[in-house]
Amino acid sequence: MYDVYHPSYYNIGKLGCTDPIKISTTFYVYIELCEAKRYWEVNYKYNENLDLLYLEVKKNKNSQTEVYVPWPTSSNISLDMIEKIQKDLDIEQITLVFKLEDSTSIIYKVSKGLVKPISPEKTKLMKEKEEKKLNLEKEIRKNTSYLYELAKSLNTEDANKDDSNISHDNKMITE
Amino acid sequence: MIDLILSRNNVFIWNAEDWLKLRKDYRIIGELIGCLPKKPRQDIFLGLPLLLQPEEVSLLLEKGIARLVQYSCLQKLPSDSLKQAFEEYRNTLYIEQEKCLRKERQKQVIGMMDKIIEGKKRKMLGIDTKNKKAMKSLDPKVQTSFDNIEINKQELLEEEMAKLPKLDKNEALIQIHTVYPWTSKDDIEIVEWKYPYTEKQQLRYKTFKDLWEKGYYLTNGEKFGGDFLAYPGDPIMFHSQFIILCKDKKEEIPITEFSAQCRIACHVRKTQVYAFFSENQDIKYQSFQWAESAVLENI
Repeated sequence: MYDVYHPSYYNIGKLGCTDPIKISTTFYVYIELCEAKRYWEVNYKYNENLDLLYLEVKKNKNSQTEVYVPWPTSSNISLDMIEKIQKDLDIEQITLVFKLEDSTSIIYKVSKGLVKPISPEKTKLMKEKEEKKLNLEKEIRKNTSYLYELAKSLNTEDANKDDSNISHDNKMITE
Repeated sequence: MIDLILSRNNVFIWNAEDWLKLRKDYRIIGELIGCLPKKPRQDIFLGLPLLLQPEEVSLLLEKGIARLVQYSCLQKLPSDSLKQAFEEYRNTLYIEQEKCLRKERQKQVIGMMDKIIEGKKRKMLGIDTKNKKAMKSLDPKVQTSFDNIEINKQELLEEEMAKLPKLDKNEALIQIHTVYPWTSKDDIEIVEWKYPYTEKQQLRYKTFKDLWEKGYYLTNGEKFGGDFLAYPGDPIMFHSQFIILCKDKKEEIPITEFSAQCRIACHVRKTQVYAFFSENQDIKYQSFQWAESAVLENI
């Protein structure tokens, strides 16, 4: 365990689950959602009936809470199990995160009943939106040094007042 | 009542009206497996007969739309009277074709009559009949004698028609029937249908029925690794939205199998749906959609 230093790892271990594979899978997914996906809020939870570690996730400040279930690829899954999770946590939809041994994640949303695929028009719209966002990020990255200099000059000119504003702006950009 | 025809555990529709009715009125698609007589050198568009899935047969029987029959006479050698009827029918077709051929030829000859007469006249006067020279106008002397020649059109027509040889029997067209044309009521035997039988078949049938009752069009889902494909409208106009796979809910699915199946569905813009029995034997569904793409995260 010397390779894991993060306090969350120990906190997840203290929730009641004793299976080390489940604990580490949950930890890796937790870190991925927090750091790589940069979700707004991620909380680890434990359900005793099912001996299940799961995560309650809010993607953005205003989005609804979703349930993410980390699942090691070494163990099989059954529809019965999925149904039980939905029933016990009293939700219609869960998101399964299959964690491969090479740390890759395969993420699937599982919903009760029949859910139609997204229409081609909607996908197109979303792709355009995504592209815009990517282009903006590219521009920011290109101008990082310039922005940095600008921020520094502002800092020296007007010391305390603008400081908070700038850090706030930066946060907006990274989001 | 539509007749579904059983032969060796497969159920077929041989009649075009029945095929259309099943598709339009009852959303039963089946699979056309026959060769189109007019386009035999391709296999994209297929024709009758229509092979029905076992679930489709069970549903049509349960809903009282059709009955399952069998022509036991087809397993026996044809009787003498049938042979005779067959010969007579073929002979009638031959005679009709012969008549039709003569009629067509006559039409052709009448259409060409003026040209034939002109050619004849030129031959009689010894004028060159070659195309190039025929275009030139004749000098007045020749023209008058040309105009004076009288030719009996009727005789000429008969003469031309006599040149047409009689249609050889070997060259006549032969009709190959799709629907068996010689049935009498005694030949039709109503048979029992024993599907669904096993637990797995029960699940497949109940799923099929449930989705059909929800208004979907269903076809076989083998090409996408599922049991059925569900379409929101006639498959000729719509893409399918769901790949339906029937599973026992207790069955453990390895993650590799699972991710392969879901990935296919995602790639072809469909939702992967697993269908299973609930405790009280209703059909339940779970829909799986890929959620990793950055694009989809904004939903």
